[in-house]
Amino acid sequence: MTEPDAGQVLATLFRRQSGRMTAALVRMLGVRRLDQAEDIVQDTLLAALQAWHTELPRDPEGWLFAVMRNRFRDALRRERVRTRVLDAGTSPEETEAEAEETTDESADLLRMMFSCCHPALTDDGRTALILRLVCGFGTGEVACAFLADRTAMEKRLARAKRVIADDGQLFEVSTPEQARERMPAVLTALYLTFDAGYHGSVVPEPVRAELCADAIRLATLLAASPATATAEVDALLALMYLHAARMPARLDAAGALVPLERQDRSRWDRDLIARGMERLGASARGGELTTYHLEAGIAAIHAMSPSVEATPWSKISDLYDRLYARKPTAVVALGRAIARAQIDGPARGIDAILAIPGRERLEDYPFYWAALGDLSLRAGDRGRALGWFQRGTKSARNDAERAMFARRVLECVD
Amino acid sequence: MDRFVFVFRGGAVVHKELAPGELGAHLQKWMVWLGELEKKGQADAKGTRLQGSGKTIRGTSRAVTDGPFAEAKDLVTGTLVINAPTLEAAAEIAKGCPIYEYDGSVEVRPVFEERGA
Repeated sequence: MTEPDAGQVLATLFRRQSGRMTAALVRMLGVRRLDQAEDIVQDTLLAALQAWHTELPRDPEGWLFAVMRNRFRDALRRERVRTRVLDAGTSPEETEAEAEETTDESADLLRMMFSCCHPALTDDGRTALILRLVCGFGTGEVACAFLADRTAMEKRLARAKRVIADDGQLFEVSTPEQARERMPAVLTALYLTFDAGYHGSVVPEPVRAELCADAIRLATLLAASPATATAEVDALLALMYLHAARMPARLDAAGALVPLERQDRSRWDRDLIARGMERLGASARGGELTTYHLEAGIAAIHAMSPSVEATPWSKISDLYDRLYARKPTAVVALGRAIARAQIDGPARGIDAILAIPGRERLEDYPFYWAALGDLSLRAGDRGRALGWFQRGTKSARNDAERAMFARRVLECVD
Repeated sequence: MDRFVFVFRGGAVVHKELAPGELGAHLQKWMVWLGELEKKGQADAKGTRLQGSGKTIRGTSRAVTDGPFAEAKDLVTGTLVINAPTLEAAAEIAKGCPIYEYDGSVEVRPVFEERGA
């Protein structure tokens, strides 16, 4: 899943290079000129569209960066002619000289990621901005990832861009001390990026895989940079790998979502599980236990269990207790209740779910109805199960989830 | 074999709002299409693809103005010389072009050949 499919090679190349180029240009031009940076990137990609014929240039990245630098110099030259008198600050000659330096791609991307995670923005706003500027997704694609309409997302992105442009400077990430302040926001944004790909509602299939791959790519970048390589990053990466490992088993032949309990575990990606377990091992340093450690721990137990029956549910339930203590959300409570139901039986499980504080917030969450229906079916109450699965259909966010509910409804009637 | 000139107008190049991924996916389709034409000997796939800027010279005074000034969808964005037996066959080839995805058009024009002179 970390490799794009053949039809997407250039889409992925353009997207990633657009993120790299934006990050480099914003350093060269200053973040106040974010709009201009984006225009230059767009012009550069359009130039490739005109110039590339049947084969890629030998070094596509180098080609794009060379054109980008030319466009950048042209822009400065035009400005010099227009303004004649330059303001005292940075002279274009200086900026230009700086632009010729060998670029440190990781540093540029890190700086951009952290700059997107501005304290004046919400978690969703930061994530949207990272998707747009660092990952190179279009406004429509970002809107899809957030189940928002395009116009609303356009406004939200424009506002968010203005916030970081008006800030006037990029956030420097050279030392752990500097990074610390925005680290939680950056990790949340990557977590949300992965989640948008994993549960990705209306997002077209290739984009979903790309969202997950990008979240992993950027988290790997954090893990590889001295200023940001914390145990928490390893835990987040472990969580992503272990979830990504299940992707091949998540859809059946008809495209219906298969719940974890019914997945064919032989189809889980062993290589990704190994990488996840390795990261989880690496995350056990410094004695810090974050929510990512706990979530990765839960995913690891599933990954290591040969079947539902052989799963040590009491361990999972214990991890959920500790997770709920740190992150008392209704979704975590639901996970905990599902785990408890494996120990206490389906009837007690249903009671536990119906007792979740703030349960009404789960009504848009398909796995809430799926869990209630599944437990009722296991308790032998087909009528109640049918009602819940039917209600769940309304909460389904994509075809795979709708197909899952359709299948479960059939189980209740035959 | 006769020669025909394809005149491309509009298309993705004039759509400033396309996302990088959309542009990349679209370019890939062009590369596949041109690659096949070249393989079949129907075209020299390099063609001439034009930049958006330029100058226009007009009138007896040779007045020079900046820019091609056409509406985006009418802007000539490139040309390609095609080898085909008939105009119909050339038009058939033009139907395979990816340019229509972003409402571009292809004009197919026979090249005047001096034969048996």
